[in-house]
Amino acid sequence: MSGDELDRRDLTPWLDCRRAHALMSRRLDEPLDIVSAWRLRWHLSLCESCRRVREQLGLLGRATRNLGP
Amino acid sequence: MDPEALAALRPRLLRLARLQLRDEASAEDAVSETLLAALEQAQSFRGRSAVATWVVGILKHKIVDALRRQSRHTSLDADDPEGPALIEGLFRPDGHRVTPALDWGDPERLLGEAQFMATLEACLERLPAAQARVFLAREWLELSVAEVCKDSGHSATNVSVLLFRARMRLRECLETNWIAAT
Repeated sequence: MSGDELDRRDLTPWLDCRRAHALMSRRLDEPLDIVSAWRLRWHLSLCESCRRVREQLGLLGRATRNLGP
Repeated sequence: MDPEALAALRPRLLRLARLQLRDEASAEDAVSETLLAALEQAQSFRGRSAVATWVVGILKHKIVDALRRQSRHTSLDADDPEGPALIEGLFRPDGHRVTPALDWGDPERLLGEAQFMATLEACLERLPAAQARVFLAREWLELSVAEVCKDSGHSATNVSVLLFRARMRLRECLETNWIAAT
């Protein structure tokens, strides 16, 4: 276990910021399962810091796509 | 097509190729192939876009080919022994961030700022090689996760971990060197 991974069997109904970060990265690459998506939405509704990180991770991708001449 | 104008693009192309391939010889090859292809296809270029943008588009295709040839599989932590601890260090034991994320302001404005883009490139250069290859393949070359797995030889789980680490490192690097400094 590398320490970055989310245990998919974990049934805790709430997410901490650490696991929210991992899900926010994953959702940029693949659709989240419905339970993870719901937990993340719930966490984001309560956490301004993670809402900022969500914007910023999206921005990193867009800025990187703009790398050019 | 002016061969000299093409040659003038070489340093920039080389920098982009190095960023992604992390290997001097492969980067040189990709850029040489790109410039040759651009010369050969000069007739097909009809000013649909700026020449430089068109050439970078060719470079991206050459880099995808190079990645497939490289296909070097390195273990997750080989070039990033401190990665896991670095990410752990962002969070308290209860899972909250040690310091809340800063407000970066208007994303549209940042995308237009040359200084922000330069800092991003500097941060990309500092990424461990395996993370840089996977992150740029996904976000710059816009390959799917399945393609990134196939080209890099990493499992889907490892690609997901590498992308996560790369994004966390880039975010911290930009926040420290750009956002907090301005």
